[in-house]
Amino acid sequence: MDGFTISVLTNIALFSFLAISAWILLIAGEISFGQQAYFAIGAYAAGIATAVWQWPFVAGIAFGTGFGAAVGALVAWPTIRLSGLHFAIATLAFAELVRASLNVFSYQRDIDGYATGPDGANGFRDIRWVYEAGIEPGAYLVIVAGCLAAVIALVALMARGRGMARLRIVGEDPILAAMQGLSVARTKIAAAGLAGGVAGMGGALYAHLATYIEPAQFSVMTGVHALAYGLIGGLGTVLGPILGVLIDIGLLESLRVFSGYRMIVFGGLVALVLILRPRGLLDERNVHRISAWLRR
Amino acid sequence: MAAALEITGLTRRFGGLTALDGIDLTVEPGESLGLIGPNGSGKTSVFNLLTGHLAADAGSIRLSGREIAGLPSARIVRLGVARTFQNLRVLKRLTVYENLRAARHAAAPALESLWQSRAARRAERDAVMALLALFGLEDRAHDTSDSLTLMELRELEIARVMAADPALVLLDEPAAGMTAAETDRIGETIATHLLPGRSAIVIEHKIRFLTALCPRLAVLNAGRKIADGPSSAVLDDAAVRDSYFGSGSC
Repeated sequence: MDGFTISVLTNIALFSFLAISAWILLIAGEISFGQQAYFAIGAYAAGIATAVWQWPFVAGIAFGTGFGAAVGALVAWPTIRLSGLHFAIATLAFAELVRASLNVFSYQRDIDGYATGPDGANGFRDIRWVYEAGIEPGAYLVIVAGCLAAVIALVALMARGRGMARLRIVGEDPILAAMQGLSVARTKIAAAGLAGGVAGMGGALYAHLATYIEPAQFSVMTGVHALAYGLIGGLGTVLGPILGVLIDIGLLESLRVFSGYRMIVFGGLVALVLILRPRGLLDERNVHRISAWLRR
Repeated sequence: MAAALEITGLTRRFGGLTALDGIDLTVEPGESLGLIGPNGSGKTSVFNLLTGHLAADAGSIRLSGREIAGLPSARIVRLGVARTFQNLRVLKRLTVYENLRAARHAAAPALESLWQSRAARRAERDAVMALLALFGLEDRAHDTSDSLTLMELRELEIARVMAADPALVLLDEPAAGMTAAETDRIGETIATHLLPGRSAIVIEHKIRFLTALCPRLAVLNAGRKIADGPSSAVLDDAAVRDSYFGSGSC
């Protein structure tokens, strides 16, 4: 594979974390414009862990993931009582709050004669673990893809067990969910924690690829894209948000014919899909059809 | 032995309107109580308070002797209460199978969110499919439930109550919108499969359907209980006829 292909594939995989994160909340019936905040939190936490505290890479990624999950669940605890538009606005506000806080967050230590760590709006440079370990872009793509596969496997396990069903019931009809004995608040908090963890893992992996991160990278538009991926790709399966990423990053951003027109085409595409298939290309009905066909 | 359900002084106000005004109701274990009354008399409100969907302003609700007023819905349901809805509530985006399975999630351990053993999944599938077969819905198991007819949706709701295996069943107009033949069929299903061994309250306007299921009736009017007793006696009651059918009519 040439360098361009590797970088496109890595980008697709990294955005998939964010897209799956937003998708999980969509399944639980909530629209979040703020999953980029957990991506940022994961990126900063993992970067601090490996660059400032000198933790090994795996521990750093785990820390970014866990931190994203913890903050996701913690933020959901008061906000989950909101619903619909109010919850969406709360997620947007929280994401901007995180970005603004990172702009003034400074935490540096002297590592090998260099001040290392986040320095507010100046960003956080020298997250060099992967670079220093001599991991090539192709090998890093394998690591990122492996982590993504683990996330997909987790969702597949939940779909086989009761987890996804619990999320979908709460997402479709919270009153009926309560009448089936499910705790709506607890289910949604669990979903938010899971979504935060998935985004956090993506951010942690991204930080180590980029080696330099800054608050401006985690803007609202990133979150809006993440949300759109699930909506166009479909809410019926975890492959839906990945399909959305493939369409946007794989086709629109990477093919030369679309250069300069990506946002116009993507915006039009989102509008079109939402009109024709409100729950995306791989929506529940299609997924049931396909799986019934596969069962034969 | 404590009553399956004992409601005393149940009161609920909506702003200036008193929807329920000091209702007393008792259901003995295994008994089916029919609940009738004109539209707006508070029948569905009784169900909404009983299941914790609405909070009571006053009064007590005891389930087998245990006070449940004020508990969250999910807790009450897990204590063994299941209901159907006047306007049908099914998960349209989920399959028929998943709609039935929905009743079984709450009782299962949280860990099964992630891991359900092969044997457990098979046992669950057999149980759910057996229930679907009872209603002739086994061929529809993997269709999304928005493809079902009204009759099938009603049956799905009743099957879902059975899947939850509750001690107390609350049916809110299970025969609404059905033809005479469908009404007979759903009545027979309820009588043979749902009610035996359980306590129940059934709301229904179709009196013949109701009296076939419930030997005892309670009548609500404007948030108050105006009669309670054996069905035939209650239906002969002048006050009941007045409130329900209007004085001087027929």
